[in-house]
Amino acid sequence: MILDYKEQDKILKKYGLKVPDTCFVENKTQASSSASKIGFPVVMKISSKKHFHRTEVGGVLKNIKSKEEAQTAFTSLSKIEDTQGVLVQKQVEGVEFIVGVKKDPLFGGVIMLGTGGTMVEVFNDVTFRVLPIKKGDALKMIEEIKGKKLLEGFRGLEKIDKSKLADILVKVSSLADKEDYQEIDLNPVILNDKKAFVCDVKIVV
Amino acid sequence: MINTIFNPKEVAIIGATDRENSVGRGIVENLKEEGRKVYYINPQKKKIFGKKTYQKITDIDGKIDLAVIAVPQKAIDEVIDQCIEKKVGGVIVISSGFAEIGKEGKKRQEKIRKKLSSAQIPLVGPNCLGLIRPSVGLNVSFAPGTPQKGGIAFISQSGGLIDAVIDGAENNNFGFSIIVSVGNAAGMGIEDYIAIADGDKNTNVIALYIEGVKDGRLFLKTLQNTKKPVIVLKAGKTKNSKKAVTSHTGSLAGEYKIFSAALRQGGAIEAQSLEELFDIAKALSWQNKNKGTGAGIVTNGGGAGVLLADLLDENNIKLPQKTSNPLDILGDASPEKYETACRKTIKQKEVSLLAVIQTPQTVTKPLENAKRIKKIFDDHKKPVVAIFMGSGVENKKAINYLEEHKIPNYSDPKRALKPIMALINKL
Repeated sequence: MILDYKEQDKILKKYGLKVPDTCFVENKTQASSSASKIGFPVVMKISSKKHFHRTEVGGVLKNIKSKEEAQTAFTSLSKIEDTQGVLVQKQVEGVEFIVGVKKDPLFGGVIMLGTGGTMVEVFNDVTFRVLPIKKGDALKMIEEIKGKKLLEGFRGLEKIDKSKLADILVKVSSLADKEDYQEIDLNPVILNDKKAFVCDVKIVV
Repeated sequence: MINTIFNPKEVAIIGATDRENSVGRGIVENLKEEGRKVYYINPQKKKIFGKKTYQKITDIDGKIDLAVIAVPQKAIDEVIDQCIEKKVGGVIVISSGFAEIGKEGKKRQEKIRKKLSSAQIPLVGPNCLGLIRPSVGLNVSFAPGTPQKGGIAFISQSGGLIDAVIDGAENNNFGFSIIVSVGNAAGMGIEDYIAIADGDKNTNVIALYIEGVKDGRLFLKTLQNTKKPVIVLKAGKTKNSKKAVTSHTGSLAGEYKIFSAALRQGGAIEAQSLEELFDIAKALSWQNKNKGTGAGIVTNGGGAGVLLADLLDENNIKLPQKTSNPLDILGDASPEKYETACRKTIKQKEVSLLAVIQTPQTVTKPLENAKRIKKIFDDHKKPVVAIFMGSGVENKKAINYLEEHKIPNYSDPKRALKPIMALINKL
């Protein structure tokens, strides 16, 4: 079972993992007012205990730029089966990574870092460590994936401090150390030269 | 180190025999007296190779450090009971027919494990090739001979691979401190052997062949606590080979990517083939690591030099350019020229390691070159790797000279790559 939005959000905050401004809405009016309060553009996505991959059911809509668009988005998202509501989130620009935790039959809790987003399976650019990890381990993990180039000022992108991503890995390590879980997916984790956000999370218990 | 097993004063071979093509005979032939007493136990024979035999281990007067057991499955229980009665210091069970064959075998294995464990007698095996320690003249295995002594401890979950390594050992200049076949690891496990090798004064590097470990966290912790370099060859990377592994040794193969990450986390080096395992092991058994980023290449052949330069570059090893690097001293290079070029290269601060390439051309003098390289190696405290290509008579002499003086040689720049990276701590 996937933990619901509020429980997940509580856990992320407890370990200092930053989430972009997000509101949980249940009707069109709430959707448009929350979106304008957060500030456009926003991302809207379904909140569901069942859908492990929201994009596969068309459950994530990006680049919503007005109140009207927010209302239309709400209508189409709420038609998706097993949807318990809609999340309106500040759209963050930057490079995407995935951070995951799973229980390995041989080593117990292991953490994964990869080049993220919806194509994570295509690129298969991932590396692992046995938990718990320290910052030094986290920095080494970053060096092991090809996606590290995205942080190094790739093609005119701003350079991004690698220790921001390492900090997230270490925080997830302590989360996994203390909380109950089977699998955790933080995807995408979005970084830009100013901030690092966990934009989506799935904690499976 | 458990000396009753790893350096026993008295050894009893239970199941000793002179029958041709038998495991028992293999052990008898391998185990020389060399400062230790050897007893043969065989209830059916009065003498083996003219030497007295005993009916059972309890018939021997005086203490026994190590009992090596190679008897048919049905006799195992009785023999184990006798070893416990005799209060032996350790037991190696060579015999098979345990966890590797299924449920029944697993039960039998658990039974002997429990008995020995409550009697506090350490157990190697069962279902293993045995133990070899060239450094103390001990061979209690049915391997095809004893390799020369040296600084490599080889711990293997496959007995067959040990056989292959020993059979080919004559062609190698490197040697072994410990070779142990882990078998089903009912008593002592791979982690115990790593700790023993780490504490052994004759061991400089630990080479492992692994199919699976039983406790991932214990294995990782052992690697993290090990001071000596560890190189690992892991089998069972794909689903198909995993199946073969499970039925072969009864151990569990973990998901490969995670295993590989755990090796890095434990500071171990991963090798991709048996050849690579020992290519790296010989370098680390002879020379100390020199943390750094740069290598210097001296060559008498442009092509070979470029091949190595490409490989190093692809792997982010710098080639400092204070002098030409690779430094091509051309086909007619004399030993003097080699020496001058090598000295000029190795003395640079940015050069952490010297790689000397030699292609055998008409005027080349391999042995004289080797002697000069050895002197340079002695003068500087930096790693030196040789790539003397070709295997003609003169070249072989030179390669043997180099390796007898702890300078590893590789026949191809590609084979030298990983050892070079290991020596400058880049693996």
